[in-house]
Amino acid sequence: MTGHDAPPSAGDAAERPPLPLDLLADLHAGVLDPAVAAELRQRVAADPKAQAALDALTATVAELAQLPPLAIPEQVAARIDAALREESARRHTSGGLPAQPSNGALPPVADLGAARRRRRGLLVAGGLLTAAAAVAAVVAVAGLPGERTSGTPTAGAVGDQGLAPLTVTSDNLGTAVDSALATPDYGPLSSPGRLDACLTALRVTSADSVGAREVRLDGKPGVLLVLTTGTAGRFRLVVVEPGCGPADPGVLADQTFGR
Amino acid sequence: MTAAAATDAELIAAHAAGDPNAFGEVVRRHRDRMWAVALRTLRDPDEAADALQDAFISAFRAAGSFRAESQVTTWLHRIVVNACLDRVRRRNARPTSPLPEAGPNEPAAPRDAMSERETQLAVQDALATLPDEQRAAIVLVDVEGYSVAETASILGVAEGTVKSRCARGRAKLAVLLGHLRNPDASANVRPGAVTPPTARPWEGR
Repeated sequence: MTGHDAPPSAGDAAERPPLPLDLLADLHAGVLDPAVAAELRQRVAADPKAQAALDALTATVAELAQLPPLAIPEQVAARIDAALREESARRHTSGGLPAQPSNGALPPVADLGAARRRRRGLLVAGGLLTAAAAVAAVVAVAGLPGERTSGTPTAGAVGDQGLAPLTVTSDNLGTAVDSALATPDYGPLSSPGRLDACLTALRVTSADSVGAREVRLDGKPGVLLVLTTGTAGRFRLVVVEPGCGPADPGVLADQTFGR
Repeated sequence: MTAAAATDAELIAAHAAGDPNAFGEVVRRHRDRMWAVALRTLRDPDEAADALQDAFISAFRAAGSFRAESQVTTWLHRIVVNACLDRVRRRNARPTSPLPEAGPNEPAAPRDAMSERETQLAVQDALATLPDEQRAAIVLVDVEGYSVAETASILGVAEGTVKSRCARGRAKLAVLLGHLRNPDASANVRPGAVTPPTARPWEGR
């Protein structure tokens, strides 16, 4: 035997051309086909330089993960809030969200320079609008079975078809909120005149009502009204009788839901 | 009744139904993270602010098309990243100013860990040299911690494309950050050509 004391694998590694870093990065990122990756890993195991490159990539990923979270600067947050208030005011003026494409394409956004100029004047108006909209949610419990007018076309957010009443209790009224928001249905209060009379009796306006749904509350038929509270994510849920009107709103439940 | 916090999806539904406060709450919940993505993608605070404003207004208007099967955060990220990449494409021909090394956008150096702070600055400098699409993938996967699948959804590309962009970007960063001093085939990086303009003490480590 001769004095060959270097391991065969090390000799192989020394004789082969070095593995390209891009190839090693592909291996590290899981880009390669599994069979190719397995073969390459065997070669890397016998190649200290290649192993060092993989370690370097791992260290790089670790450093990226250590970048600190960033907080939005106050002035940027205030500017965006103002732009959204302006947009909200425009939405109220135009009567709702514009129709959006469903393919993910984004609608055009107003020129920022013009928006900035307008924003100064609208900041105050937007603030007042938000404050005026701070109210509550009301659920009206229907008590007059013969009065249902489901399916009657109505104005605003009123649904255009009757939905089966949701069975709820005073302990789980919040379970009806999603449905009331997604598909508002005022049931027996569907005619604009009756709804307005009911809301007036509750001392709120139609702008405060963002959802509704017929319910059976603790076994009684009724209508749930979801009203804004002025706090995002927090609603006032009021259940009123179907005869809710100027003389008596017939409030059967009045709760706050959300944060 | 127990007052549970409304979910993001509930807030978007409420916004679409007319709640004037719901969208603002969604913005407040996620604006820091969206700001980080915008700033790290665009590297210019003014442009990041404009892009973020564009994105949030677009999201405000598009909320009616949001589908609950996707995460609100993924949806928002997609809009923010698209707004940023649109700006990147428009400004491609002109240079941009680098991220400020200190100021209101960055937290103060934590305690006395200056070497950690320096490393973070080095990483930011190195990130700034990457091609935009590689940087966007790296920011989402390695900095923000999104999965490859989520990032693919946000960027609107295949998962393999995300992995490949991350691989290319990490290889360049490994060289720039000094983890690889003499790469044999340096991932299209010539250290002398792309080393950050300001000499950093970590280059010799």
